[in-house]
Amino acid sequence: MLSARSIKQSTVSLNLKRTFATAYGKTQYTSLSNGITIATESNPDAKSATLGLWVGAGSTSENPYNNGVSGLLNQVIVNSNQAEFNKAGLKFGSNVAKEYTSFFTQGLKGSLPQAIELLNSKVAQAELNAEYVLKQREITAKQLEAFEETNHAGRVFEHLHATAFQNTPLALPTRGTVETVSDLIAQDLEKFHKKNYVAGNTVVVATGDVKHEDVVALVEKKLQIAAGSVPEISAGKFLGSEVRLRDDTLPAAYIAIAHEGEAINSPNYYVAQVAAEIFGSYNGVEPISKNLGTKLSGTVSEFHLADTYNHFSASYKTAGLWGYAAETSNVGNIDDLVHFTLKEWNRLTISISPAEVARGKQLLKNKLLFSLNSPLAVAEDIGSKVVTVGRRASVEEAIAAIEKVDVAAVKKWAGAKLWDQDIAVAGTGQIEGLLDYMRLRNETSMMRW
Amino acid sequence: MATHTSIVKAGDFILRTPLLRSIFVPTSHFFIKQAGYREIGLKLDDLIFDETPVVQKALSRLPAKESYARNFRTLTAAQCAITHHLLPKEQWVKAEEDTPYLLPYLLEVEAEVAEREALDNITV
Amino acid sequence: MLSRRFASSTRGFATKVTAKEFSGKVSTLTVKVNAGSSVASKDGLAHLLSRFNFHNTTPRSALRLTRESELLGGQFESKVDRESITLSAKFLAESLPYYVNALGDVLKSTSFRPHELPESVLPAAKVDAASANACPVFKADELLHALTFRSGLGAPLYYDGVQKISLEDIKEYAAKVYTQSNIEIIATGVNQADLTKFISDSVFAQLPAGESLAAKAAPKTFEGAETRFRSAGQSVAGVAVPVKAADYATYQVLTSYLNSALSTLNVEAKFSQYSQVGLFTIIAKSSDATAVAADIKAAVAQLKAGLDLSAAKALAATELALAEETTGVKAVDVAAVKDFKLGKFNYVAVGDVNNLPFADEL
Repeated sequence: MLSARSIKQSTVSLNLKRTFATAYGKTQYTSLSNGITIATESNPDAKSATLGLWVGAGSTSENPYNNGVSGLLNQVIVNSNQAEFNKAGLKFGSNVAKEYTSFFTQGLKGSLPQAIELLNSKVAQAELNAEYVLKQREITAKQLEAFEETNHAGRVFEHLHATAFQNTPLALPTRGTVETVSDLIAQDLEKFHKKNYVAGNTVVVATGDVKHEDVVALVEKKLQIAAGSVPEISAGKFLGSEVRLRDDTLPAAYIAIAHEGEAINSPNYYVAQVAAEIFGSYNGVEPISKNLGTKLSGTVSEFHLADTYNHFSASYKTAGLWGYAAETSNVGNIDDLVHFTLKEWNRLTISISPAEVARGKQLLKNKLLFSLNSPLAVAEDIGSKVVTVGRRASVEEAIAAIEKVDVAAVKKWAGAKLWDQDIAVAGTGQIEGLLDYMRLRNETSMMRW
Repeated sequence: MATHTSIVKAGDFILRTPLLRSIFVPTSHFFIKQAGYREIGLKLDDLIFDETPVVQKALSRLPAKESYARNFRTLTAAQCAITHHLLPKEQWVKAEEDTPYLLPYLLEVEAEVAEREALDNITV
Repeated sequence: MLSRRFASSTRGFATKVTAKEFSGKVSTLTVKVNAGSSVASKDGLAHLLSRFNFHNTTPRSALRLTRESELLGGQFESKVDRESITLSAKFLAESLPYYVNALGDVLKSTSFRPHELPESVLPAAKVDAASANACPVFKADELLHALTFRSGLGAPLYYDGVQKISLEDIKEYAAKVYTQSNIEIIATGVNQADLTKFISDSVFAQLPAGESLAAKAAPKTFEGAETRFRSAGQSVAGVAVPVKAADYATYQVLTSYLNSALSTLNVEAKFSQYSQVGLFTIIAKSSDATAVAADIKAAVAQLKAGLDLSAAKALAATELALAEETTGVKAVDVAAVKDFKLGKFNYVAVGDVNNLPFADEL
């Protein structure tokens, strides 16, 4: 085989070991005596200030009977108070995830005092109108119905979690189901709020044109959250399994396959992310998809095996998923798509090359650093990590940890977590060609002498 | 080692070297006359074995007019083969008409393939 | 750090270069070319040229660019809108020289091989156009632009095949727009001195001087027009008003107001701010056409009666500041905005038009 001209001979030298410039901003932390954590990252370039509450109460804090209460509580609080926030010149938004929920305001520089007052009265001290809850319940149920009927990839991803983490809290769909949400009443929301919105479970994050001392002073003075500590949530446990929702009326097949991944605090958190970035994502309509640097994308694009796929390393507090989600209209060749994908995953254990690992690392750095592209994005990163696992790795730490990953680390991790390990499979659409579980499970290793 | 790129490289070397040029050029003219493809209306590039991905790709990039002309020559030659007759002398392809029309496209495609292989096996 | 402007006449290098420094490990390099759909002489020409960017160039093929870019940890893309084609790259900060060269080569040395057009550019362009036009809101937006501006800003954004475009047309257009006076280079996270040095040493300095094709005066606008477009799926009713530069602030606040919870109307507002003129649009959409009819009628009635916008000024200032952070477009000052009353407008009905009102019924 011809060995190629090394890229070092091209116009720019690829010196990957140079140190990076100083960080985007230093995050400052303060813990108050009542248990609230405050985190701030200032950026004097910013023209706005984001202030938000991150509460460690997402769908994992729910049970199968009140599944969706966290999301509905979000909607009720945001929609009933949006006008008042807007009058004060603030944008008010929220987000619900599996392990946390967030309420954030965006405003101009001097907006923090008003923001904290409103967040206190509307979120921390929220008073819920029973009729409004019923009204919002209808709207939310309709949105969930639309999600179930049109967002097939999203639905498959939720089912992947539901089957992989079955009988543990991580299995519950993030925003609930139409059935469970339609049964919620104001009392359920109040109970959930009382149990979970406590001081030990809350992080206040401020980013943008803000000063840490000012934020701490404001929180001490204005934010009254009931004392209390983080409620107990049982861990997520992975179970190799599958769920198939075959529907031949859909135009394509939507599949997701995942191994057990890494938790946020795992020492292999970054190795798993590099491994996912090695295979990356693919979009068949873009001309660049023919030129991507992965063997898998070459095979997929030559034979049109998939329309899109994206590899992920999803990490939660106690567990994670590592795999990919794909959408294909070439439904006769799903078996080929899955076969070639899993054989490529095998290569992570036996024959991944330094160039592929280097590529994955560089692309991961790019992805990580460019995801922090607004004060809100930075706040979300800080808040979600601090409220879930208690700390957030700074940008320099993350880059250093990514730099440390090498071929040996990837092979070791893949040999332990991917090679001949159970998978969780979920699919909908025209998945007749998605072979049975044992066929897929056997593809996770190769017969070698 | 039989890529068109390597053949062109060897050919350029021969044409640059006077001794080799004086041997090979007359020999190749004699060979072409004996082969007789021009007498059934074909050009040299029509004879290239085209059941390979590289040549198929190159053919797909031919301008429409060249493509129609190639197809016409193929049909003419097929008819000659069936009837076991050569074309009348006026219709034989002349030496100056026998241009390597497909060669630039072949070289481009082969360069792309070689570049892809090199980049697939890059060392960092 | 304050953004600094750069203009130099050394070696006749006339491109405007702005570098905004901030402490970070990543950089972006953007080349904004005045070559959007309003500048091109044929419909869809700007879109096809944008899609042709980052294909084979003389010094490096598209494949090589992609692979080298990945190993350096960078990404690039080319976007087209009504006024410009924007080529951008985002990368880890040390790769600046590579990307200066790469972007310069795209402008100067794209090969425009004949086979790339049918193999790569046209299929991607067709998908762009098909997916955009499948969305009735986009369709309404296109029709409102066409009604308001007719040509220029009213030309379709994407290539629809109505006007035949050949490879020669694209090459000619590229030669016309990729000139030093017609491009602006914007960078974040790079050192100003390094950037200007790299640029003046690079292919950018070899581009022809050319002339700026940016709009110099406000185009002619038309009001009181309407059109109807049948399609299956969601129904959309839209109203559009051309906006003079002096009135930008009023319409920005109006847009913020209508999109916020302060307004009880069930419509979406959008303000497209171009360099010499703006277009303000209100859209009502739903899968039920009668609901759309009611929403758009209510909105037009309330706006005709007049609105006090003072409650929304603070929110508008916030939204404009947020937009400036992401796009770099300078926020207009909204302090002086008072109220708004709707005058003449253009109207479009898309979808189940039998159940959507006519302009004179609003």
